[in-house]
Amino acid sequence: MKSTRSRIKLRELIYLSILIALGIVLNLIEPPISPIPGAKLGLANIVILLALLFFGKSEAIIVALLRAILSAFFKGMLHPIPLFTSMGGSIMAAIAMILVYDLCRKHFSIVGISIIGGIINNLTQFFIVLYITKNSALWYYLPILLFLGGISGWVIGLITKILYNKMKTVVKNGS
Amino acid sequence: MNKKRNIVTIAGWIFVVCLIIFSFINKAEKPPATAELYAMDTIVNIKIYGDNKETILKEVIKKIEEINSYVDSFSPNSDIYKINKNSGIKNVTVHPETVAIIEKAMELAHNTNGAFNPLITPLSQIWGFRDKNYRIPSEEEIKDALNLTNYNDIVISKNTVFLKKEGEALDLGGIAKGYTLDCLKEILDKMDGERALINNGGNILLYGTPPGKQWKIGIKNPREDGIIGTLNIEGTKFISTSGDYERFFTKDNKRYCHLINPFNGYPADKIFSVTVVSDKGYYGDALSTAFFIIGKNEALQDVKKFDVDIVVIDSDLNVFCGEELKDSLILENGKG
Amino acid sequence: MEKGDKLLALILVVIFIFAIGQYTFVSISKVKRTIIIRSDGEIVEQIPLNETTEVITTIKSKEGAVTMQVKNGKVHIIESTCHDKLCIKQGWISKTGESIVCLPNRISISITGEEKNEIDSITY
Repeated sequence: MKSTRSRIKLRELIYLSILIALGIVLNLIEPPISPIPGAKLGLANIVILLALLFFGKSEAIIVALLRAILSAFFKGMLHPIPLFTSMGGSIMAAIAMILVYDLCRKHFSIVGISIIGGIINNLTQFFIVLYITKNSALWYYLPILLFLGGISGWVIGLITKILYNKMKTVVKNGS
Repeated sequence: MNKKRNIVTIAGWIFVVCLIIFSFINKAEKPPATAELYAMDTIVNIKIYGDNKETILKEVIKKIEEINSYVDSFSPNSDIYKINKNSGIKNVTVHPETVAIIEKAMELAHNTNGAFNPLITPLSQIWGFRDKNYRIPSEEEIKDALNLTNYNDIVISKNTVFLKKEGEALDLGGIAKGYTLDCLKEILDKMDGERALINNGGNILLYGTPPGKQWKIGIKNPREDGIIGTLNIEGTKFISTSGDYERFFTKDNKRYCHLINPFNGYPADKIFSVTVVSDKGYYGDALSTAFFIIGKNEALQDVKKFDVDIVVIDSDLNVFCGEELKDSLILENGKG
Repeated sequence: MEKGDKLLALILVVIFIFAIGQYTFVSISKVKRTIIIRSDGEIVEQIPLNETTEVITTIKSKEGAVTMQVKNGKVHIIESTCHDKLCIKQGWISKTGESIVCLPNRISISITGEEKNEIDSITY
C-alpha cells in the first residue's frame, strides 16, 4: 500500500514538474504586448489551471509560485519592471482562479475561470506599472486592457479545456 | 450542440493567431536607458540606446561625476578650487585629467586670441555672477580685474598647475561640459554603443543615427518662448550654444549677461546667441563662448578656420548660418 | 455555458462598449504628449497633456518646491522657492522636447510625445 502511495506521489511530482517547466517555456516564448512593459498574454495560466483541475488548490498555488520564481531566474534581474509585472499578474490571476474554483465552481466552466484569470492578470499588471511609473495617462488604456485580458483568458480557457480532455485519461489512471 | 462548440473553438484559435501576430508586429522600439543628474552647475539629460545601454549609462554617469569633482570651482575638494586658492603662492598637484582640460583651454585661448579666456573669473566676480550679487562695477574694478586675466600666467609642468599672480582664478565652465562630452563619446566608442543623446547643460552629444535618419535639434529662441528653429544633423556631432538669456541681470533696461568680453571687461552684447556644430566637444564649447564675444561677422569669417558650423542670432533676432548649415536649418516661421 | 459564464460574457461586452466609447470621445489617439516631472533626477509624476488638461500642482524636492500650472495644452511654473526665479521667467512650454528646469531646486518639467516631427533635444 505504501509503495502505491509513494508511487502516486512520485507521479504527481513528475507531472507538476512538467507543468512548471511548460509554464516557464510558455512565458519565455510569448511576445510582450505594449504599452505596458511586461504585459503578456498569460499563456502560463494554462499550466496553473491544469494543475488546479488535476491535482487541487495547493498544488496549483505551488505551480504558480515556482513557475514565477524560476522564470525570474531564467530572465535575470536586468529588467526588473517587466519581471515584476509578469510575476505579480500571474500570481494574482492564479489566486483569483483558485478562489473561484474553490467557492463557486458550479457557476463557471473552465473557460469562465480562465477569463477571470485573464482579467485579473491584466488588472494587476496595470496597477503595478501605474504605481512604478506614476503615469496618469495609463488610465486611458484600462478598459481595452481588461477587455483583452478577458479575451486572452477565453482563448487560454479553450486551450486548457482541450488539453484537459486529452490528458484526463493519462493522468488520472496512471501509465 | 457540437457545431456551436466547434465554431467557438475555431474562432478562439483564429483569435490566438491574430493576437500573437499582433504582438510580434507591435514590438515597439525598446525605450532607452535614461538618467537626469545635476553636475557642473547645470542639468544633464542622458539617453542611451542599444544592447548594453544600462552598463554604458553607469559608466557615463561615473565619468560625469568624476570630471565634475575636478572642475567644480565652488567645491573645496576640487582641483580647480585648490589651484585658485594657491594663485601666486605655489603650484598644485592635480589629476592628469584636470591638466588635460586646462591644456585644451589654453589651446583655445591661443586660437581665439583670448576671446575664450579660462581666467575670466575675476571679471565674473565683480559683475556679481559668482555670488549672485549682481552689480555694475567701477572702471577701477574692471581695470584691476582685467590685469588678472592673462592666460599666459597659467604654468603647467608635469601634473602641477600654477597661477602666477595672486587673485587669478580658473573657470573651466566654458569648456568642461564640452570636454566631458568628448570623454563620453570615447566611452560609447569603447563599449560599442549604438546610439545616444546626451544634453549637458545645453551642450549636446549626438551619437549614432536616429531612426529618422537625422537628429532634430531645436535652438532655443533667445527672447521668446520655444525654439527659433530646428537643425537637422546627421551622424555623430557635438552642439554647443552660448547665449545671453541663461544667466543675466537687467538694470535701466539694459541686459548684462554672464559672458564677459575679456578684451574690455564688459558683458558681451553684440549678439543674442550662437550655436556651434563641431566634431570635437571641447572645441565647440569653447568656440561658442568665443564667437559670442567677437560677434556675428567675425564669427562667420572664422568658421572655415576652425572647421565648424555655426548659427548666429543677432540682436534683431535675425538668423544667420555658416555655408554648410544653410540647408540643415529650418526656422519656426517657415523660412529655410 | 454556466450561469457565471453568461455573466462574464455580459461584463466583457460592457467593458468593450466602454472601451469603444472612450476611444471615440476621449480619444486615446489624442494623448500624444506627456509632461514628465522629475525631482532630484527621479520621475515623480507623469501627466498627459492635451488641450483640456487643467492642473495646478506643487512639486517638492530635497532643495525646495515649485508650483506648476497646466492649461490650454501648455505648462509653466508659477511659484518657486528658489532665489532667482529664473524658472518662472522661462515661461510656457508646450512642444515635445521642451523643458523648464529649476536648477537650485533640482526640479525639471519636460514634455515627451510620439509625434513624428518632434525634436530630439534643445540646445541653449
